Amino acid sequence: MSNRKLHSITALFDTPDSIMHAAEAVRDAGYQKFDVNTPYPLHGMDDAMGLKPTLLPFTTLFFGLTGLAIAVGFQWYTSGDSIGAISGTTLGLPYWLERYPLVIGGKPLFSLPAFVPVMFELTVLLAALGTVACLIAIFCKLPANGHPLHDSRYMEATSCDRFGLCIEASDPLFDEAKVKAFLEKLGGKDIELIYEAPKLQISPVSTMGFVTVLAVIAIGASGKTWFIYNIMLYQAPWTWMDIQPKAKPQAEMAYLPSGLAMLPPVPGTVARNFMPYAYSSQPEKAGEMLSNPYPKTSESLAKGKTLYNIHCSVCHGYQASGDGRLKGQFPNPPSLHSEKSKNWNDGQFFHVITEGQNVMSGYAKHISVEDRWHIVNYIRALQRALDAKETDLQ
Amino acid sequence: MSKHTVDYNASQDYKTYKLLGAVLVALGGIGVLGAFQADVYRSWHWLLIMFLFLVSIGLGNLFLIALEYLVNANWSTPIRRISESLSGVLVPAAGFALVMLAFGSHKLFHHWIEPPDAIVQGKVSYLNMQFFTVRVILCFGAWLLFRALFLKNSRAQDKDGDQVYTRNNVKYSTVFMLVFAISISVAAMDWIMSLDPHWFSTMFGVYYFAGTLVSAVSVLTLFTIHLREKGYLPGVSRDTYYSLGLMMFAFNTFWAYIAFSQFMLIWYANLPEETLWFIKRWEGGWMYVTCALMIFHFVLPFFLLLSRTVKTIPSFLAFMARWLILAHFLDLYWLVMPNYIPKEGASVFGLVDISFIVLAIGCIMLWFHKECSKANLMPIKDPKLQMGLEFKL
Repeated sequence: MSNRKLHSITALFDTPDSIMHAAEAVRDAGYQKFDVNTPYPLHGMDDAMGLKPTLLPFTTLFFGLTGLAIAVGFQWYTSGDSIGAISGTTLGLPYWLERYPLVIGGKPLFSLPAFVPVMFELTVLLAALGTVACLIAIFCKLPANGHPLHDSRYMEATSCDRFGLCIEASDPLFDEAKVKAFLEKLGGKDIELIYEAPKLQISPVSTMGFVTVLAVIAIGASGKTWFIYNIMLYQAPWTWMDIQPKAKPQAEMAYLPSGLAMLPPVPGTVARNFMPYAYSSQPEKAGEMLSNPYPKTSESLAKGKTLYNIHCSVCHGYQASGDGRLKGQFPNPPSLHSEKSKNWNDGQFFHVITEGQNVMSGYAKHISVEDRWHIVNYIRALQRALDAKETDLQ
Repeated sequence: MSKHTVDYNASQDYKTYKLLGAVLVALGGIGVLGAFQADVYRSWHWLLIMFLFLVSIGLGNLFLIALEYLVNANWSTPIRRISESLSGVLVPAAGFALVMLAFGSHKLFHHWIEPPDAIVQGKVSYLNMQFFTVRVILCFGAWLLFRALFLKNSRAQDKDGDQVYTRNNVKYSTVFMLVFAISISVAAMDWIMSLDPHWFSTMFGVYYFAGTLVSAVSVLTLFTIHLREKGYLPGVSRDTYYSLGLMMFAFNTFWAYIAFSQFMLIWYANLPEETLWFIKRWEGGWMYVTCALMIFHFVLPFFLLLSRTVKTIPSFLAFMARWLILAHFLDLYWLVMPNYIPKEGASVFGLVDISFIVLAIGCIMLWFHKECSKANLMPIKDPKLQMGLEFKL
């Protein structure tokens, strides 16, 4: 026992008040390397011990700002325009450096408001993890996870129902006899001498050998898993239908003339339900050649009215007199009740709906051929309604 | 444990507040009258900002009182009387509300008072002058009623120290919290959101509540520090300062969280009827006001108040409290003013505008002095007082 180095002298107290006064007295006596162990936190102990503020909050700040920077940088990089598009060259970037300029919800590529939640989360995450990691690794001096005070009667008592104070031998004012007398004078009981362990206690968990064993186990386990799921299970004859002689879309296929698995359509192919328009840019000819295949039944007019109100009324107005809801923001369309319009053939209306005219754009993509004819019928009905003949009244 | 002797009587000298308050009210009043001569519409909007600030201070401190009773906090018991006195600001606020109802409603709420358009027509069952008046009276009635109840019990306890008073106040706080949650949302919608009746945000009540708390805690901190440094609040320690600084920091961060949540949902959904409110505040000179609000209401105070040490330095804490009070003024200016001057260049503060701030601060000082002279500066027989005085972190 005596050949081991003295670590500290400890004393036990019975009440929170007595330990508080003892800590104040030890602080005032000029000791610096001393500690207090209590079963629960005592408010005001920091002042009583004269503790200086810890540096731990700065690690929190550092890691928080690091998280913030990573979040901003990562989101800026990944969602930015591709390097090739910016520099106008085709840089051969490795695939894991490729950027993803995806437009989401019509927002700009760099949309700070959308990034803020991620910035917030990563800041909090790294601040918390970094603080805990620093606390354990630096402030608790990680490789050594033992302490001379462990496994002493002193620690047993202070983690149960008593309040302990220990003055360490490394304190410049330390003197074994003096400290003992001082603690007794303060009212400390069960004074105990704590000796250092023969050498620095290092847990078997943090030795190189143990880490090596862990690494070997980890690599072995993941290698085994990889081998089973990628090699072993696919040994012939068990292919699990994974290997099939089929062409996957958008893949290469060398033995086809085009080299593509997906064959491009033959030139001149016409899609189903799609007839090319024969009279492009020829309104007069369309008027001559096209005739309305749909009679003016009430169903046709009702359908035409619905479609007209959706697609046409915005500019032309509900009555087709050129007073739509966008009036004033664009050049007004002419009234469809003019003599010119009345003298048009159905085919000419059909042509304008299909290809547009002046400011109006073509509606071929929005309105099917059949529906265009229904709209033409409804326009005719509107023209007639504003210019009714006497025979209509009968 | 050391015992603090608590020795107060009601006739302590706060003449500074009375004199300074009266001077500020007089100066501010003259400035306000001048402002009304110059630009009537702008002045009514500034009066609304001032009114909202007074409501923030009064109602926020009423909330802090109720919160203390509800969660059985004892650290804030020694400074509860300051909150109680500050909640008296609700009285002049009620006066300004009546003035605005009587004379300013057509200047402020003309969007829905005068023949409303089709969109406002659909909201007319809520946005009409009769119902508006009823809501204002109900809100102020509830606030002043609960204030009277809290103060009656608290002051009666000074005489005999009966614990029944504390228990009663705990019961009232429970009810008050519900009333408070509803009434502050209603007030925020009525006085601020209805300035732009096409726009709506379901988070708006919480947004105003967050700003309210920041400014209420800041004013409470400022008065606590000032009185403590003058020696009026013996026993209030640095740990109490730290707690106040912590509340300032926490509620300021809460404000930023709520403000951003409100913005991000609207920004993401990108619906025209919602975005127009933010677009108005991002056009022309308002962009600078918005950026200033972000920087001066959140970013700088966040980092300045982050450290544990600075929250125990009285001079610095008082400086931050003044800062956050002005930041709340900026917040209210940003909420109210674009409805009057949405054009470029009009967002500049004028000298006459300062007179409204001066008048508000004068009102707070005068009513603080008035309420303080009615009772002891500490709840001397509150059962929690001793624990509050011995509060250690």
